[in-house]
Amino acid sequence: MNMLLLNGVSEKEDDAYQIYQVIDRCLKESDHQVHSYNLYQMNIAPCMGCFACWIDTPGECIINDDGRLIAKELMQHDAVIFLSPVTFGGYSFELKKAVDRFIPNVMPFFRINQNEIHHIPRYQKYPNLIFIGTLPDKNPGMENTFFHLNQRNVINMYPNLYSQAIFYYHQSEEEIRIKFHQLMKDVEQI
Amino acid sequence: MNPCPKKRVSLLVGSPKRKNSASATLGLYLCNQLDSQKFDYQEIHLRSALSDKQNINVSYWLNDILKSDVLIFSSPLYVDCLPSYVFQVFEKIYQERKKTRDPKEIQFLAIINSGFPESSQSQTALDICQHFAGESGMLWLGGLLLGAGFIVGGRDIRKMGWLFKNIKKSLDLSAAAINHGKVIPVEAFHIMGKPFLSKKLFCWIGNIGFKQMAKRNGTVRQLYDRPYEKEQMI
Ligand SMILES: Cc1cc2nc3c(=O)[nH]c(=O)nc-3n(C[C@H](O)[C@H](O)[C@H](O)COP(=O)(O)O)c2cc1C
Repeated sequence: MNMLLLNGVSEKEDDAYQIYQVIDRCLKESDHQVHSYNLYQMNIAPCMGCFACWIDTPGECIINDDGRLIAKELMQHDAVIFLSPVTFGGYSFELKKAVDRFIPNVMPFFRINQNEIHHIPRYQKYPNLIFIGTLPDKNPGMENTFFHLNQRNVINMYPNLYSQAIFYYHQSEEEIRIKFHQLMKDVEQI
Repeated sequence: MNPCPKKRVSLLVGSPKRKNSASATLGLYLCNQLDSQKFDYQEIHLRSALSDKQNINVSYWLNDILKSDVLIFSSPLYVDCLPSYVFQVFEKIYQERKKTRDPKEIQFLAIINSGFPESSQSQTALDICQHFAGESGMLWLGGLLLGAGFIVGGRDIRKMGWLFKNIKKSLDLSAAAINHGKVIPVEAFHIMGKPFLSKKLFCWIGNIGFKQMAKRNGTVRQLYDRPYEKEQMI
């Protein structure tokens, strides 16, 4: 598989960053082709909410920064990993600033999908998605919200397959590795 | 005897837009219905507050927020969640409240408006707000969810037609409850969430609207472009 890791954990977040490092090592040791981005080191401006990416320059954001690069990279890979500290049940600022810049990858037009209104896809095929949240400890409420959010994103981002999990700070490297390999397997196309 | 000091209300606007933001319009309308004898309000645009470099650290707006009695957070839904920088702000408030262990009671009301007409699509974002408020030791007042919020845009809510009467009524009920220190009535949440367009009609109008905008911009032919089509491996 051709894989993209979007790391929404910053170096300052010690324990979560260690989880990122384990995942990064797993990917480097695998047979997959991997591209990895530390989003906190990138120049990605928050979306301005102007919708120019739908109307003025269809398919591309008018802000010329790394947000464009990441939106393009998303479409070039078979599977994409979203890694983020679970932040009140959502993603970190670092990951979310990239995710908000993905809207050029769908069309402005609406259709009814799963009895709700959503945008129609711009492309024929979208990458499979792996969502990984990090938490110091179990937190059923926030985990639930995080999983719901991922499921919502699955409706909007059109992957064929997806997988998701929470990794805790106290988990051993071995535990993280086993779980991570399972997450990867879950999105491998047969 | 000194009269009761006025309570401070901060309206936190989550939209990055400087003009015609539905979030700002809804939040301001509500604040303007608060009893001015009892409440003073100020408006803080989170995006501008964060990009104000001089104040980025222990900033004036953070202090203002922490001194508030009531926070009214009004935001658009962005990718089934809140706009990115809202997480930066929430994180800063949470860290500060944790650090100072300030027992001050802050009430938190959320207003979330989405582009799609089903207000239920904002539920996850609302749950995130509730986790934030809970973790930061605030009193949760609830959340008003509005679908198809772009219809509000920068319009005067008092002058919006009969079809949109529930928006005004919901905000009026919420403001009255805050004025009297009461719980926001269930009706306020319920009527704000009611769709005012059928799904099919929404799709039809919305799709025509985007096509017309593209026509005006001369981009109809480019609308379906795929600039990031996957490069084929040979
Ligand atoms: C980056 C971005 C993501 C959005 N994601 C969603 C979404 O997931 N669901 C939805 O219903 N509307 C979505 N919208 C639409 C906005 O929520 C809607 O236009 C809202 O009314 C904007 O409020 P404002 O005028 O206060 O900015 C999105 C808009 C933008 C710019």
